[in-house]
Amino acid sequence: MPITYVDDNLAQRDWKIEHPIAVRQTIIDYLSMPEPGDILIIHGGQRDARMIAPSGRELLLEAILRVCGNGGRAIVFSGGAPIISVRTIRETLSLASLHEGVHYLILTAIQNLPLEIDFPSLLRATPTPEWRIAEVKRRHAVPTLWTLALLCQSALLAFDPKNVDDEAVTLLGGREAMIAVRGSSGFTGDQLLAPHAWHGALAARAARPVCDAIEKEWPADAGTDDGVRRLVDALYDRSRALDAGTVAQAFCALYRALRQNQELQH
Amino acid sequence: MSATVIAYAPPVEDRVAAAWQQRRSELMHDWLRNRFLPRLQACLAAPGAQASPLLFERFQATAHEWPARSAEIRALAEDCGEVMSPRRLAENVAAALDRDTAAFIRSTAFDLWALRSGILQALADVGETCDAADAAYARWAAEPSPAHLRALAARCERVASAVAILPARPGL
Repeated sequence: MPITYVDDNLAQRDWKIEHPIAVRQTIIDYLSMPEPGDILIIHGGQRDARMIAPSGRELLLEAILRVCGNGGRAIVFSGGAPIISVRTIRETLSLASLHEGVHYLILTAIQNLPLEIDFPSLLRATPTPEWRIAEVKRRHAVPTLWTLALLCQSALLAFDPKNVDDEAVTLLGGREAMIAVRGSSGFTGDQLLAPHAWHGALAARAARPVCDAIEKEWPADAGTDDGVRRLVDALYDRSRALDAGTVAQAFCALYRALRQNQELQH
Repeated sequence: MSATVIAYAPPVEDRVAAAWQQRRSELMHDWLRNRFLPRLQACLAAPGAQASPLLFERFQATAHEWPARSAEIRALAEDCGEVMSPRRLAENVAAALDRDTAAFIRSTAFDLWALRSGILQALADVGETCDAADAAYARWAAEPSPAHLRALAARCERVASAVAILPARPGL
């Protein structure tokens, strides 16, 4: 699927754009390409954005209309706001029956584009008429995964560090860090070793709504959520005291999932 | 007790983090990068480093905002420590728990995040770069020479770099 990235400031960015995405510096460069491609990713602050095309439209709008008018999709991003106001872009595209979230995205105040757009998914996508460009926007609201991750890491501190497996210990910052953080809190967190505290924090009386939420929030390509489901099973279906292994496995899976969705930046 | 799992925040975006990011964008991208520094660089780019009165006046009109903007940058960094800390997310998790367990979750969430992310050093770096830029601004204001202007530009670039590495959303 041909994707073009247009940015006259790419050298200053915190990200790189690589093959198979075609990089162009100016909008004029893009408009000179024989084919519009399927996806156009374009910096809304381009220096030539306000230049007027032969059609009478500004070049930024011309470029978006070119790709979307041919069945493609556009992503307009900016570190602040686009040079042409978001309202004007929306109004112009609306007149062409192009809809935000379906045909185009406008991403403002962007610090790091790969944190907002799932490039691997974008590269795999096939824009059918029904396909929504919003599908490649990373979801940053994963309340159940966050809740479970916070509870898991606190619970792991409540266990004896010797009983926590190495991967979880590493993710937590090391055994010494675990002991220091636990000591500085002034509490032991023992209550997190029993399921009822988790039930309250998750605001759910049964496993089903928790599992449904996990399924919805689990990012694609984050691997299996089996470890998390085993934890939920232990919490609800076989309500009993938790063991370090179950919590550690769930924590590692949650950590990977949050990192996969770029929730974690380190 | 609700049957659904809504542990914190709105269903689509973390609006608190998004609002902070918007503030950073307006301050660092719109003002510093696209207004202050280009006008400063235009003065430095003048032949013989002697900016025309017009360029100089144009820069001065923006330059006098520096002290207030510097204070805003410090406040932005200070707020980052709370907005991006998982302690904020832990508040809603902890609401359903007894006091001690809630306090344990809150404090461990912050301490582990601080340990892993290096956020405290990053915030200190913002403060130090602002101090240096404030000093450079004071020198330039007292004696508006090209050398002082260059020094101010370099210090402001360091402020921009220090603020740029602050996280855009809460970490674990």
